[in-house]
Amino acid sequence: MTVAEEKKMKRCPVSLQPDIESLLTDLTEDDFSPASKQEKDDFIQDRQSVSYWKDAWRRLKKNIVAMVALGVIIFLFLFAFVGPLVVPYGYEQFNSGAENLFPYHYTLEDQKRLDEEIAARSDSGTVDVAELIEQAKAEAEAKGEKFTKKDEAVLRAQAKVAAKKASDNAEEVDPEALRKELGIKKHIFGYSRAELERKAEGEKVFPHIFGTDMYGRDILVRVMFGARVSMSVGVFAALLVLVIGALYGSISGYCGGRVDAVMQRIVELIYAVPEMLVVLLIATAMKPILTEYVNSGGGGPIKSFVSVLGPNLISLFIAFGMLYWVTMSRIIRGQVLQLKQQEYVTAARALGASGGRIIRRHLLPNCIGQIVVTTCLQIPSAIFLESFLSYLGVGVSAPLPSLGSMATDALSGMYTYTYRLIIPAIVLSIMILAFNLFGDGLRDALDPKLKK
Amino acid sequence: MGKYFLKRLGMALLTILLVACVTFLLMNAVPGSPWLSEKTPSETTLAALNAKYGLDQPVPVQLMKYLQNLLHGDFGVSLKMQKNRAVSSIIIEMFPISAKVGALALLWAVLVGVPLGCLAAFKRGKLTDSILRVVCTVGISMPSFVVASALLVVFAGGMATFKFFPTIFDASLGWRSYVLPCFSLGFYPMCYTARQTRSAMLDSLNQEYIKTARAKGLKNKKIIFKHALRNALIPVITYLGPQVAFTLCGGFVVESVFSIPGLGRYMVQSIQNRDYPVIMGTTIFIASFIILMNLVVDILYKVADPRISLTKGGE
Repeated sequence: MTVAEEKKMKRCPVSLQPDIESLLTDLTEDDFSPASKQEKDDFIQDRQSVSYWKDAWRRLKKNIVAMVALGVIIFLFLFAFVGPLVVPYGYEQFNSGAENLFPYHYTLEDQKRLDEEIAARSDSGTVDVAELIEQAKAEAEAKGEKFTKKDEAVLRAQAKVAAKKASDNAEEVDPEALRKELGIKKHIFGYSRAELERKAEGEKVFPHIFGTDMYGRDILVRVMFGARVSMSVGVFAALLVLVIGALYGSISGYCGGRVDAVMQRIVELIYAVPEMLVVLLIATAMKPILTEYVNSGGGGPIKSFVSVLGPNLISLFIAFGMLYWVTMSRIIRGQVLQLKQQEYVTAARALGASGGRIIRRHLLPNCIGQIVVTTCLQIPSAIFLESFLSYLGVGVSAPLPSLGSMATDALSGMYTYTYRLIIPAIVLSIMILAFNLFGDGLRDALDPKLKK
Repeated sequence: MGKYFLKRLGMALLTILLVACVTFLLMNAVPGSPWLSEKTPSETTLAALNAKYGLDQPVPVQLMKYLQNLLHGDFGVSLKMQKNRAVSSIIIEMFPISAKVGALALLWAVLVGVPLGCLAAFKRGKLTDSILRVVCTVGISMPSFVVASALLVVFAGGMATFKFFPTIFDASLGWRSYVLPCFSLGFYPMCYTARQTRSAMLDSLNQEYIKTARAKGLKNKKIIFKHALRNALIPVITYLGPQVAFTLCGGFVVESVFSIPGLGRYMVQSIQNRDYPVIMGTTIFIASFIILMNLVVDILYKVADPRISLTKGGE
């Protein structure tokens, strides 16, 4: 028995040491050749470091609802910002002759047929008055009686009553019922008659896809601009809230002590103020103030800025800047309170970093997830508020359309022109829904701890 | 407890004072005098009018006087809408109507919202849950004017076959005229309550004491109603507190849509007519109501859940 064999025999049966001898017999010469690029990549893929955003994106991609919502948001953005470039109508353009168009039309031939039919129906029964009188005169003379003025008046009155009845009958001919009778079908998109004629002559006419309102303004374009206003308001208001809230919250949380106490009392105070009411109030009061400011003459960048945005939008932003940052600041303060206990903050402080630098470089980036989620969920609430204010008539100023004010305008003819109410309402609801769902998805993706 | 109560009360009063001041100052900053819309009065008449309503004094004096009057329940008089009528009497007349509609709306919101939320929590991940979640998310994404006008179109004359309810609120018609306003006013709170109840219920079902209860062999019913639901209701109450006040004072929009002669609609009208004393009076009234409701909820909170530490401010 050789020494080596003796060693082998001594191997403990439960040892976890790999049996190199037998492994070696399995290996071939090829196994020792350098790895190909593919193999290297595969190896790295397994343990590639995943950044925070990549990880979040991966999780977000799995959330079908959130992805659909994202798609809808992107679509709405295109709709609102690219759409008006495609449609050749302006939001304030009065298309004369195209008032009150429904989002469908009848072909020219069908319209002619309908007119003829109505005319035919109302014509029957009416007789020329003069002819009637002549007839009566002749009759009277033949009988040897005198045809008096009184008789003539009676005849005229009778004829008038008959004619009125006939025209009433003509009005009673319901075009809808008649269309059904004639088998006339609706075609999508609204065209006015003049536009149809132009189209028949070979000219290219852009249809009023959603119809027009009582002044002949194209509803599609107005909805696009309304969506644009809503989304811009939502995004800017959210950014405003983000800046103020993040600044306030991080300072309050980082400084702590007395500063924090005072700042939190202020927050509590604002928290208790009923926001909706104060926003309504600010919007009401700001409108005349700013209007006077704009009209007071003189120039300057601020003034032109105010007049571009319109007083109502500015007051909306002021309201958001004053009241709505509170939630954001609370969330960020809570995060900062936790984070500032971390060692890296102590380290940064030991290295002599200033408070501002620590907040900017260490604290805020570490609560970015919360910030993004809260900002994103702020957008629908701002849109909601904007539409609410516009609906009540203190939102976006008049020439600029807003989804809320379009809905108010539509109230007057709500039952006949229901589409005017429904279209902006649906776009608005879909927009808010999409932002809400996306925000929820983002929260699940960025903050797995919160996931429910 | 007493100290906490006093502190909260002081805070609430301070907030009301703040709202009153802000309201007054904002309304004061508006250019133009309230007499502008009438036939231009002569200089002397104008001076006399200003002197009568105290408008010739400096703003701080006016503010102090206004606050003093507020303390005596004097909200000033309407300048335009119901000329010379005391705002407080308008509020007293309008508030009960708003409160009735609001109370009915909230009642159905809670009675339907909470059970729906519970149902969704129990059927978590099932079809029922998904449907309820979609419905509720859609519900909180629809502004109340969308809901109200959709209801009007469908149930009150838009389609000829359904004409169940009147389009314009008329108390003499009985319950029929309450259905649509209450439904549309309560729809958002209902969906919100259901969502909150669901997530609170899920939270509470994951707690250790539920496990303990199960381990003890308690019946499902008892676990749910005695242990889970009670704790789940706390966040729901937080939401409902301010909401109660808000809804009772009338949905501004819903009241306008259905022409309900309530406080909310009146406030909107006063805003459109720029009747400043009315705007100020209604704002301060509604704001105070909401703030006091918040206070009540906070106190009830402590009673409902002794775990909540009241002394610590914030979260």
